[in-house]
This record gives sequence, C-alpha cells and structure tokens, in this order.
Amino acid sequence: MSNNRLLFLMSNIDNDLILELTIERERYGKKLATKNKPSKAVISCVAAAVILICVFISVSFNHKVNNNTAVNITDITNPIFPMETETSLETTLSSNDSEPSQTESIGYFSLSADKLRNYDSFDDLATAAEAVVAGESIESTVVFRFGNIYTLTKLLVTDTYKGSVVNGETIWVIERGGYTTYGEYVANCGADEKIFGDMIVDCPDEYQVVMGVDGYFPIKQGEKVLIFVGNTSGFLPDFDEPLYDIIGDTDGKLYVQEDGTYKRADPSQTDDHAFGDNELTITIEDLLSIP
Amino acid sequence: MEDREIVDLFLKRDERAIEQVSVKYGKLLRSVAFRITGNMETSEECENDTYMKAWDLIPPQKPYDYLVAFLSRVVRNVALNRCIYDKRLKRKGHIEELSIELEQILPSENSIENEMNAIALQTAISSFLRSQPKEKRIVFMRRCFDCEKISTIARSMGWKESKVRTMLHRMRGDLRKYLIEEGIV
Repeated sequence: MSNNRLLFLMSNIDNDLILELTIERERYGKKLATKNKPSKAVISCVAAAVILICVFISVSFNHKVNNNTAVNITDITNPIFPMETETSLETTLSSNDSEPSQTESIGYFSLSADKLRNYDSFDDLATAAEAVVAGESIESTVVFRFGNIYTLTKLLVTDTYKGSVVNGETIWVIERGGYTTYGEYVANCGADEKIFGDMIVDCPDEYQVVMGVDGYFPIKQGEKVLIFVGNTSGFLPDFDEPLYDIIGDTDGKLYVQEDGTYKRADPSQTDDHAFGDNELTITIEDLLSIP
Repeated sequence: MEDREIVDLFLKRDERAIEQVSVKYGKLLRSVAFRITGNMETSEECENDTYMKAWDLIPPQKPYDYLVAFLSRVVRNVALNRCIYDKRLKRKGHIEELSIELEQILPSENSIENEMNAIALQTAISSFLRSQPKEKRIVFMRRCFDCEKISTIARSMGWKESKVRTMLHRMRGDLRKYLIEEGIV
C-alpha cells in the first residue's frame, strides 16, 4: 500500500468519527472567532487610554503651534500614536475592493483610510519629511499594536537626500498592513465580518492574508524604494531603535524605475505594482534639489 | 431541509438535491477542501465536483443518517486527488509530510494487497480511535483526516506545538502496536 493510499483510506473511517469531528470543527471555529473579544474591564481600560492619548496629543499640538514650529499632520501625531490619528482607519473594504483579491492561497484585503491630508507633490513630501532616503528592504516582520496590523521593515539605506541617516546604515520603517495568516490576524485584530464576510465561519487559520490600505500594500523584502519619512520612535513599546513612518501613509513611498527615477504606484488589488502615467514621478535631480 | 429529505431528492433524481446540499453544507465542504488544498478557487471546484460525485453515488448509496460524513469523505478524496495530481497547487509538501507521518503507522513496504485487508484496516483504525480519549481522537482526526497543520491545531487548542507533535507521535506508535496485535500489520 502506498503512503497516499493510507491517506485516502483515512477517508473511510467510520461515520460517527467524522460526525464527531464536524461538530468539534464548528466548536473550535467559533472559539477562534470569539476568543479575542475583550472583557468589559479591558474595554474600559482601552477607552481611558484613548482619552489620555487624545489629551496628550491636544497638549502636544498646542505646544507646537505656540512655538511656531512648522507643523504638518505627521508631526502632530507622531509621538505616541502616529497612524491612528493621521488616518482614521476604518475596518471596511475600500469601495473599489468589494471582493478580496485572491491568488494561490493568498487573500488580499484593503482597509480604507480617511486621510486628513494628502501629499500629492514632491514639494509637499519633501517639506513634510524629516528624512528622505532610498534603499532596499532587507528584513520585515509583522507587529500588532492597538488591534491593528503593521509591518516593520528594515531598510538598508543606499542614498540619503534629507536628514541625518548615513548611507549604508539601516533604519526601521513602520507601515500599516502586513503579510500574515488569517488565524494570526484574527487572534490579534479580531474577526471583522466587514473585512472577511462569510470567511469568518470557515476560513482556516493558515489562510495567508495580506492586509493593505487603500490598495497599497507594505514594502516587500528585496524591494527598492524611495521614502519620505517622519520620526515615530516610541510607537512600539520595547523597541528602542529610531523608528520612522511614511509621510501621508503611503503617499511618501515610491518605487525605483528602470530609468532610475522613482514613481508612486497605482492602488492595486494585489501587491504587484502597476505604475500609471499620472502618478507622481521623482527624478534624482529633484531629490538633489532638497535643501 | 432535513438530511433525509435531501437524500430522498437525490434518490428521486431531483436536481434540487444539489441546491439544498449546497445551501446546507456548501461552506463546510469548501472548508474541508481548503484545509487540504490551501486554495480558495480550487476548494470551490472541489465543492462542485463533490456535488457531481454525490449525484453519481446516491443511489445506490443511501446516506440517510450520515450525509455530512458521506459528503466530507467525498470532498476530502476529491481535494486530495487535486492536491496530488494538480501541479499548479503548492500543497504537495504538506501532503507528503502527512504521508510520511502515516508511514510510521504502516510502512509502505508492508503492502496490503486486497480490498478486504483495506476494509479490515479502516475498521481497526476506527476501533482504535474510539478507544482513545476524545481530545486525543480529535487531534488525530484533525491532523490525519482534515490534514490540518500542527501549528494550527496547537493554536486553536491553546497548546504548544511540541505537545501536539508528541501526542500525535505517541498515537501513531500506539496505533501501530494495536494493528500488530490485531494481526493486520
């Protein structure tokens, strides 16, 4: 008997055992979907924390305005809770992504973000950014914070156009979204029916999901990018190194082109980038003109 | 609609049988297929193939009291076949890993030639599983019937992977011992 035949033979075990498994499967499926519902005490604590953060941000904002500091949206929100306040993220699919896009065992989901400000021009980005660097992603890991998924990317900097980062150094960049499994996402962010629909009932834990924002997905390992970043150090607890986030969520992320220019990608249903003619293109000359 | 009524529709060759099965068990079948194939699109194809196979198999079979088990069995076989023979699917490694585990119970050279022995073997496996505590039995079924990953089982049980691995390893050893005692291996 070949190994596969024994595998097939398992299909023919007695009905009562298969029925028992079916019942248990429903039970642990439901357990998975609900195991992360927070208790009332946790909800109260989180609510109190949010109020405190809002007060802190408000005080911080007033302080900066009073000191006539050049203020941009990212600056206001960076110290503690950068992305949550910069973009009010809703856990809904964006309108043009009503169905998750699927490739081989991977589902792509796009959250929608209500941005307070868009950075559409090179000047906007260059002014707002604390640092402008080009580099290659050499490592990335998913982290969960405040019930949201983020990707922490280690970028090997090849060129610095603004800021104090030295060429050849690595910096950490954090972005909303990430590559994970359904089980991991649900365990950390909850099973939102608005995102996953019917999948909540029977989606296996190991189903690969890629979460993006407005059709943009996090930097993949090996990708060469130009990023306009702000400093968001302290956002992750127990992470002592300097941490950067991209200006305007995804506005300040451009990909290297064959001709050496950098271009912002179009929103997409997967993490394969497409570049439209009208997307922002930045040349090396533009970058060298940054004061 | 009750299972018995659905089976009756099959027996009458009424096409509403497939519609009703789809409504009642469609998600379950896709889910079983997905655990094996790891691909949503293929799972849907497996689900449709299962309806066709059920249409061919009922009659002569009359699974009045075990329609779920019957359909689960069919979709499992369909999905395994897809996994093994469809080169586009990247699930072969996962299935091969499971096959190697099963080889610890019944080495491939220890061949069983006829269907008679196969029936004796499946009966013995069922008896062995029935003799096990429920928790262990479910873990074994999830691994060997549902083809779930050890990491997935561990997470949903709130255990470490090593615990699941050890439990399955011991169960395979015990099952092999049981089959030897029963004179099947």
